[in-house]
Amino acid sequence: MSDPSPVRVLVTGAGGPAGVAVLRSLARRPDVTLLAADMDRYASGLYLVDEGARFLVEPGLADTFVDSLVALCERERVDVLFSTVDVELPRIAAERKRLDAIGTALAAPSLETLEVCLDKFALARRCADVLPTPRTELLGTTDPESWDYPVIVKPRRGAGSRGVHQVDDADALRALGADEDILVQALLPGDEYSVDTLADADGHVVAAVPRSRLRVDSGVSVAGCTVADRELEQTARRVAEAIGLVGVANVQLRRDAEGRAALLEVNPRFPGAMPLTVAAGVDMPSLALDLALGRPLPDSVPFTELAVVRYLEDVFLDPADVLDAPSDEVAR
Amino acid sequence: MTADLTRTDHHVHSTWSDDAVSTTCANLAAARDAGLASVRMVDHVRTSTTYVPEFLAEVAALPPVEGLEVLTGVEAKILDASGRLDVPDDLVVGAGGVDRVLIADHQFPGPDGPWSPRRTLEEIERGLSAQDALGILVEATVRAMERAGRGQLAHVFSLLPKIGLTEADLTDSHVDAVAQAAVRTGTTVEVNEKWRCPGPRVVRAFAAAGVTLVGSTDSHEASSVGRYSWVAGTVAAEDLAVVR
Repeated sequence: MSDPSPVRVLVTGAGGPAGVAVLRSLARRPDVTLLAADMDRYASGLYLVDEGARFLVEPGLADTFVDSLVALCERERVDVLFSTVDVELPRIAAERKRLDAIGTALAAPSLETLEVCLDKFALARRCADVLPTPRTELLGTTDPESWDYPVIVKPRRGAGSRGVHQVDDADALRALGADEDILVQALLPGDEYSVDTLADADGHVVAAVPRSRLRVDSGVSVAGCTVADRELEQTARRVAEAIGLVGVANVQLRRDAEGRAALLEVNPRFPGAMPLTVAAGVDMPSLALDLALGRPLPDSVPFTELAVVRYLEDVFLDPADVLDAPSDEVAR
Repeated sequence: MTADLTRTDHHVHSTWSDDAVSTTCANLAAARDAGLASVRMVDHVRTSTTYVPEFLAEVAALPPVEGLEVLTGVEAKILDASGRLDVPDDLVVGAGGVDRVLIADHQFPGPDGPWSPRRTLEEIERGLSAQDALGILVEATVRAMERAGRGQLAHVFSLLPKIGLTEADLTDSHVDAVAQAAVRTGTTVEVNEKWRCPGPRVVRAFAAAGVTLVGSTDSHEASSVGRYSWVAGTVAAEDLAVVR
């Protein structure tokens, strides 16, 4: 018997900061062959991997997206799949068995965990008894007079800060109508933290690394720092347990009026700011790969306090090496 | 019989495969620009595939390129130890259909259906001997060649590293069994750039047995059609000429 061949890892969403972060982390492992996929041929992460390992895929919402991704994983003998795209994740996780059948492990939390995270109302209900959670109601069923203003309204489902805004009084809240897909949430007045959290196969939290987002540009943290704060770490651990986390999630907390860390939401995927957590000592993409491969993880991984400022980087290549658009072309 | 492998590319995918990005037309232009003498347009099928007639019509309608032979194929995995292939029931091979069926070891052909590499490793851990596993794989490959009628072994033995084995674990009689079946059934065997297989020992044994070898990039985009480095360096035409 020989040494096992390199682990073949496919990272989707190679154009996003999370995809690039995962690719950069795993590129340091000598036992990994990286493949990258995106729907956009100009996605920069495609060009961080070898020619021939770059794949254009359908948009995550396309009807045949999962079929074609499973087919790609089979043909390319993908051992582990990392999806860094919000809209893809639940669709792929729902087909985890099909991936298992062809020998591809999905490095993502369970479908049940994803669903409770992606439904912010279900998440607030799930966590209300175990940690400080701001009052959260559905717009259509709550009495506008029962709130202290201002309040936050946001889509029940959805990623990032899309559709989130502040409402200053009951009249303004009433004017929004009765849409049950909109949440009303008490405004948390304090500082906000993102806690990158990794739990092992038993749900035991191996690391919870709080980060403050010192500056954010277009939803992406461009300056930040890790914060050693027991309360933030413990709160994220309780969230991870409440949602049955196995793998990596980004737990967003904000201090309430009493200064306690309270739950805002959970993004059940790798955040774009992951390189800071990696540099601070917790290489979560690498640990998540070991988890997906069924290898044992350390009981806990410590981190240091570290700040980061970020900048754009360039990948230069022969124009001919930019992937062709998947459209009809005539022979030259 | 075995021309310079690097002037052939008998495994080129187009947009008919959902993970490939170049059209048949772009691949044809790339084959011409690479100076190939022969190119085989190949796309992935499974039992449910219905596009084959359209794919063939599209290839047939490509503009002719002087000095470039254009062939067709479909690639299908071996489903089980009996050599059953994952092809549509109504697939026509030969006149009026595809020129060849590419026989792929995408999964291990278990007695009860395809086994993932991990399942295979587990079976080996549980007591299936490596030699028995290789025997099943070789036997399934031979049977698949017989079933395909006109076949081509795609990246043969590329599965081995995924199940903890290498071509060095193959006995000479394994290699010989595949070679004899390939000659008997007229199956071509590709030397595959992408998966770097089969290796020099197997290639030389196949050539010595009279197997028709072809080059294959397993390209999924036009820029890699007909581009060889490993094939050119490992199994050059003069090596094969010496063998025969």
